[in-house]
Amino acid sequence: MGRSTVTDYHIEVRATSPQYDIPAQQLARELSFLSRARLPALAALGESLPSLFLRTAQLYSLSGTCSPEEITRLARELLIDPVTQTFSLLPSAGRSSSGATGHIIDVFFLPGVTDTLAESVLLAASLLGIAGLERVATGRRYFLDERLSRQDVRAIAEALLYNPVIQFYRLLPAEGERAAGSSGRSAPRLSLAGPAPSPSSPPHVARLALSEMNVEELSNLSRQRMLALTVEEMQAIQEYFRRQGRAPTDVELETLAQTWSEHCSHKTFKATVVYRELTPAGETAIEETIPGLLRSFIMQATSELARPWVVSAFSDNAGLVQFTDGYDLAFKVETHNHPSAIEPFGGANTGVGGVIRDVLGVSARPIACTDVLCFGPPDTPVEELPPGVLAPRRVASGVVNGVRDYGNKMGIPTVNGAVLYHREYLCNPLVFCGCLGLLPHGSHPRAVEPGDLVVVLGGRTGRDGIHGATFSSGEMSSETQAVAGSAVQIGAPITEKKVTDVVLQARERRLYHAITDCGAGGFSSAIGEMGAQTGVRVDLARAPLKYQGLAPWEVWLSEAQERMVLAVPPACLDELLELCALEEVEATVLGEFTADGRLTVTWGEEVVADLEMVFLHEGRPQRTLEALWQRRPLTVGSATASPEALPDAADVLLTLLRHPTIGSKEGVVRRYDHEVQGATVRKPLVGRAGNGPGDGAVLQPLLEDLSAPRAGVVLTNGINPLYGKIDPYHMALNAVDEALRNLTALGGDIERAALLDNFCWGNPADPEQLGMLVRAVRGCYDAALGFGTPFISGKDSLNNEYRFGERRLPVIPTLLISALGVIEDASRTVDMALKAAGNLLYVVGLTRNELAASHYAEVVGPELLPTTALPQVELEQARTTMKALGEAIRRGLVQSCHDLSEGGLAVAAAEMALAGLLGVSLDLARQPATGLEELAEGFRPAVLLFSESPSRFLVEVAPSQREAFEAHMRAGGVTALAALGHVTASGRFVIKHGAETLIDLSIAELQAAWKGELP
Amino acid sequence: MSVVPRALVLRAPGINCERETAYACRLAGFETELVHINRLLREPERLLSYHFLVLPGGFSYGDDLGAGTLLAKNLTVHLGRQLQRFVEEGRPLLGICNGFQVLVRAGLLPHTDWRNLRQTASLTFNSSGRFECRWISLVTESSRCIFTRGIYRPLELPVAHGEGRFVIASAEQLEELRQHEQIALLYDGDGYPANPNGSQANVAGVCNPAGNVLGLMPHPERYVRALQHPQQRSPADGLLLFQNAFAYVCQLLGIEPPVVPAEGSEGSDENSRRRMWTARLDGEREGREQPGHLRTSATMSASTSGERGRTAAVAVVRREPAPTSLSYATSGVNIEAGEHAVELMKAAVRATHGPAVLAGVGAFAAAFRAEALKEMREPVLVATTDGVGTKTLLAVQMDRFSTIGYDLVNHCVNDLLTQGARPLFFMDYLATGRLDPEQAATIVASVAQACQEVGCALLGGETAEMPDMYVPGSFDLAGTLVGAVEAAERIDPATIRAGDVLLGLPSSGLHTNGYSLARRVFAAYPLETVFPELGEPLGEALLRPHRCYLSEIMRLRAGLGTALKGLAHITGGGFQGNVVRILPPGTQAVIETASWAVPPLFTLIARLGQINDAEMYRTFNMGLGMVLVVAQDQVDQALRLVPELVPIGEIREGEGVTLT
Repeated sequence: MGRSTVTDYHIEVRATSPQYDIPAQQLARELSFLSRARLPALAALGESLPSLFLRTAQLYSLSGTCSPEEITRLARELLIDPVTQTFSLLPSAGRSSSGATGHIIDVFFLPGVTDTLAESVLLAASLLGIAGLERVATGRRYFLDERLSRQDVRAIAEALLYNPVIQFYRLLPAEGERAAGSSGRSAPRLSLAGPAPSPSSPPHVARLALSEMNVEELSNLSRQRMLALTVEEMQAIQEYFRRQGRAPTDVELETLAQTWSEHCSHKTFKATVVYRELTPAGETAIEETIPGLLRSFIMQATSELARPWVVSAFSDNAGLVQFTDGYDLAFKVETHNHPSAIEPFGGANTGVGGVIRDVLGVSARPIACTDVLCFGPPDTPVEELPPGVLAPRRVASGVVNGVRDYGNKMGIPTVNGAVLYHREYLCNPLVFCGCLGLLPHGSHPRAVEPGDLVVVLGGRTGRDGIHGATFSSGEMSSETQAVAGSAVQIGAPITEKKVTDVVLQARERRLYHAITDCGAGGFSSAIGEMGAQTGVRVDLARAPLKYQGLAPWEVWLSEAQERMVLAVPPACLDELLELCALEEVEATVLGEFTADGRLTVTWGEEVVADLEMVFLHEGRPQRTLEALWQRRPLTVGSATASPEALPDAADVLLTLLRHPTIGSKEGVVRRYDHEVQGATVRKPLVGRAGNGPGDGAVLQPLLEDLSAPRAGVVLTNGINPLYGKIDPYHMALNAVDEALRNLTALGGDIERAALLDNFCWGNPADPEQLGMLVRAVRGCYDAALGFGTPFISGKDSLNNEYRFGERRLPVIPTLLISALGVIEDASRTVDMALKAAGNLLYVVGLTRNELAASHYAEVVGPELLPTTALPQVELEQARTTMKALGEAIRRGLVQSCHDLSEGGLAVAAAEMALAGLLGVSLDLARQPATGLEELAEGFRPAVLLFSESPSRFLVEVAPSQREAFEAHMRAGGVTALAALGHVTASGRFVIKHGAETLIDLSIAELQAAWKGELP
Repeated sequence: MSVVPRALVLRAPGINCERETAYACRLAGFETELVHINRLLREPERLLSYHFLVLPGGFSYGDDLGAGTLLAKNLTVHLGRQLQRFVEEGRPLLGICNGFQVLVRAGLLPHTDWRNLRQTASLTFNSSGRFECRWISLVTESSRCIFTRGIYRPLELPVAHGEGRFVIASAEQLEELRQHEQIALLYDGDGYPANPNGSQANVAGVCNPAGNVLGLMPHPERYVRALQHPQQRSPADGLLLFQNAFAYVCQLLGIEPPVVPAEGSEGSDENSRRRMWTARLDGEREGREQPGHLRTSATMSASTSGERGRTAAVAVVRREPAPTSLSYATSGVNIEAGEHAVELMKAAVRATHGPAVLAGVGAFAAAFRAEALKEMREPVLVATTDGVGTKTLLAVQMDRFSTIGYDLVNHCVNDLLTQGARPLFFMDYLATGRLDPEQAATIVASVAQACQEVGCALLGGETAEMPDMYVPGSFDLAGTLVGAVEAAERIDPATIRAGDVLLGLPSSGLHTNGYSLARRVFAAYPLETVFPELGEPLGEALLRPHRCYLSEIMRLRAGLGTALKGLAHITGGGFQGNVVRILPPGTQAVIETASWAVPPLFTLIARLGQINDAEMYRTFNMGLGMVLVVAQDQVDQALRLVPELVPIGEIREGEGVTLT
């Protein structure tokens, strides 16, 4: 074929009928949520007919030496669905084939942002034998009603259609307008030429004259380059290079900043903490120096407990526990808060991808995902949002879609989680992503040998996510979006799936000596850590790039997704490469591990970094931080409150069921595939109604392993940020109690349970924030020892603060506890849905006057409450109860079980009833309680119904098993136990207190409220 | 076994359900391999070394260009020739979720034109616009699909997809799919969430015209063990499709399917051998009688109104010895005898259904609209349960199962008649050691036909497979008949008085009694033996079905009114044992045994077995299957109404039954 000229083609693909234009329908729905205040023309249209015209199209811009016939063939055969879509070749990018008059908005990705669709088009062309196609860009086109104003259209685009972090848009003149180039706002023009070129070879390596700098200059340098290093750390670096007698390169400085970042080195959790505890009057009660929160508390608990089945804790990408004789489990939970706040889809998407790689990084097959999400209330008016903050509805929908996209496409079931809504998450939404993995015992190699090759697998490297580690280690502000755009990426789950397929086969064939994922800090972090004990030499010029023009430090730091680094013995390289070729995974040798104890990075022949491993990993000056905690009363309410002022219990119950944190999450949960892999025994939605809120998940992942096919894993979590506002210590105890309570309610065994911690906190440099952290960490320690459950892994996300102007908005301190339990037989578990009329309902555990920070208090207002305490865990009793009850369930003595948590007994009983579609008749007079004597008579029903005292359960027992159940529990040392009533076939939910009927509602009313339907 | 059925589960970038799919194939009996498409592309002929191909779920190549697009192209461009041979040889091909999308995008479903592969249907975005994971119910349609054979009850399976909405270009094409019986699976109900994605006409799965290529959106591989079900229900519905594929491949290969290992190892596992299937007696006929319309919601609900508890078999065993070499049918699929029998059974059962039969409650119970009772002044329900005893062994020996149902139903009908009641509905129970589907279907069809002849609905039934309970080859058949009668019109034996006349109605043979004795007597004689007095093979005489007296009795009731005072159905216990049951205190039945000619079968038994008369009359009906008590002044009228009636004696004062 002779040379031909490069031609640009523009293809528009539209649905043949509005019924197939699903994005337009979604847009219409989202439009209905938008505030009309910013859409005057739309508001003026009101409900007028005809209804608003909305259509969408997919745009492809192709460029290459192909013929129009080839492009037409490509479009006809692969770009459209011939039954529901049609296409047109546009004369130019700015035109539309549609006869529609009105506004057109085109949205494209910014250069450098992952565009998996464009990659698929290139693959499609090669399948059809179209060789000349060179570049592809894809975009979405929206046709909006001509009756809207230009201002409306811009407002809609900005609120719904594009995110400046990863996209740009252009407004096209209505059909007929000939002027070209009025391309929207100051967005970059669509360019097929890739990102703006940086100086390429020879690479630009800056040398920074550190040795001359004073403190202020050091501090400025750190800020300008987004290094997030303190002055002390900058000075340590300065000192190191003075000794070396040279200036550091930008690669070296960036490497140190990344390695020493909060994200990678947990410097707060490792810092020396000077802790002061004040009495409520302000006098110092305790003053102590803690050598490190992680070492002194979290890891300390694990080592004191010394459980033999803990295979590895805090030493790998994920914690490992023994599952069966032949298998181990790996578990890791990560946060991805900052990215999710500014680009919800991409942030959550890559968050899931990252935690899956953590599990892959211990050579485990990912078998389940969990996600816990914290958002602002969905109905928050846009006008109340601080500048730069995305609407919570948009954050929530983006995050949920991001989680859905990655987990589903990887084929990993998302089986457990929670969604919390609170005003204090408006500016700082939280996204916790967890992943569980399975691996044959002893199959995770972790010994790098000098001479092993450094092989990178998977995605290519681009300018993505640069400074992610340091970005997430700093606060966000209203300018963050503009500054840190490059810190956010969109994932490519299929690439990661392919990498997973390769890694697991390579593990089977023993083709590598060590493996780690490229997460925050990219190659720098992964390779730097892998070579810490040996030394490593890599040539960055060999790294496969998405596009040219990256500076060496950018290649080195890039957080491009879906990459794994393997230490491969040279003898195994060919086999690995052959495997990668088959699985369509790119694999590149970047260098080799050495025995010189140095990190040597080159660009071709030129050395761009040369650091001693010892300095890199241990040279960071130990931080000393100050922490302050002022004791405060653990009670709220007033001694003069009158019971008459309390609202009707049935109304409160319905309000609680409607509370977004308590109400049905079906809309979220169903978007996640929780059945893929076929191992999900206890599912997130349970009961005859098919939508009851399960307490957690039970998996049976070894179906095909005949030696232990019934072995089960129980996954649960506990989180209650409201308690932390009074005392984070008790929040921690309650969170552990809740996670283990959920585990017990399913039939899990707390003697075989392990915990993970995830802290999301404000700036630890603030002594009060750190003081709260110390309290929480101490709570974790006491809880772990009290329950006998070790921590095996964890993660801290600090600096969750939003700044605008002078205001600092730290996140509400939030601790997520994730629990992992092992049981012998997954079939010996129960769910929380009532099973049969006539069965007895027991309350297990003591109820106390603990309404402080409860959901009841939030709903009725604490001012109406009598003096009431924060829920507090009686550790010994809690452990005894959970041990005995879990065993009762595994022995088949229990038909269903639900833990009492948000909303207390009333909500738990209502959830069991609405899940099983059965009635309930209870009398609270028999409820085991303590400390209610001093309470006015009229307050007792509210406490019995809504107190959130921990370690309590509602248990359904068949009448024939009554004696066996009671005998078992008593033998186990559980005395707080009483049958309050029974399950009925009446369809009514009736709770009495002696002769007084407190609540009498139909199951249909409960379901309706719980599903958020208004009365 | 010389040939082991082999399954290939295709891997490809982004496919992610391959492991559980392979597990399902293995559970069904296949030797299963996971093969990456790139490996297959290197040696395309390798495809033909497998007997079953599965395209599992996932997001092949990311599905960015529309679900399944790139994998479909890859398959047809590079493997088209081998795929064509695979499919045309009748080997089964299953596409699940993304695999279904691939088959549709590739133009392999619903139709395949190998010279011009063209996409004619689509699986497009769910109408909700959302990915959705939930458990749904499916109903099978009458189709040529080999995967859904013998499945007549609703199936529960999970769906998990964002692009599963089945769309076909025109109403004509949809009707064509129905005409060609290509719609294998429907979502059980209209609208969200029963139909979770808004599929046209609730279509969940379609097969090719030959029936060996099936695509479906739900995930059968995710429900192959009881524990995978939300309520941990067994047996696992999804496994049925894989077992059918296995049975079908065995049949293609001409081999006996080996016994599939049962789930787990504990006591509850009887279920895996015992397959409770509900026959869905759809209103297909109604649907078909409306050309140009696909079944809409209205006809859909009509179709589910035919549920009945019914078992049928998964595995179709070829009965005659077959060559063990590969013997693929060269075009399409044979509907062989077993399948045909099942179809017959369905039609027969359906034919018993009047408007009174309501929607069944899945596999658990059937419902009957008691409308007719409302028109009665004081309805009395009458019920009877019986079995056919060891006559089943003769049926097995004769390898004839088409009449045994008549024995069962007619026996029960005659019992019911003694109260003057008319039958309303029947429920049957068939228990076997090992289920032969063809045999089971024939038996049930005969039950259904017998029901139809007496105008009674075969409302439900159950087939149990209990290998430890029954010796191989044996079965037991029993049933319950429910009927109704006006309270005032019940036949009231209390009115029997001395002077009433006893009339007999001839039997057709042994009916269902005395077979243990008769079999012992004839043990030494082949069933083909023609005794001169019988004039037909022994087996024929012995197996002759139980006669039904419904029309005769109804005629007599109408004509005689209360003068028909009592009815005794002569079953086990003979005249003494049965007539005595209707005699009021102080009355005696005197029967003159010489008043009718005892048929030769009975005399032959007496002779060969050297059985005395008393024993014979206690055990057999001796030629009269029903004895009537009629007021003396109405005997002439009775004989006019039913000339077959034979006066055999009279009622006197006294006690008991006397044979003279």
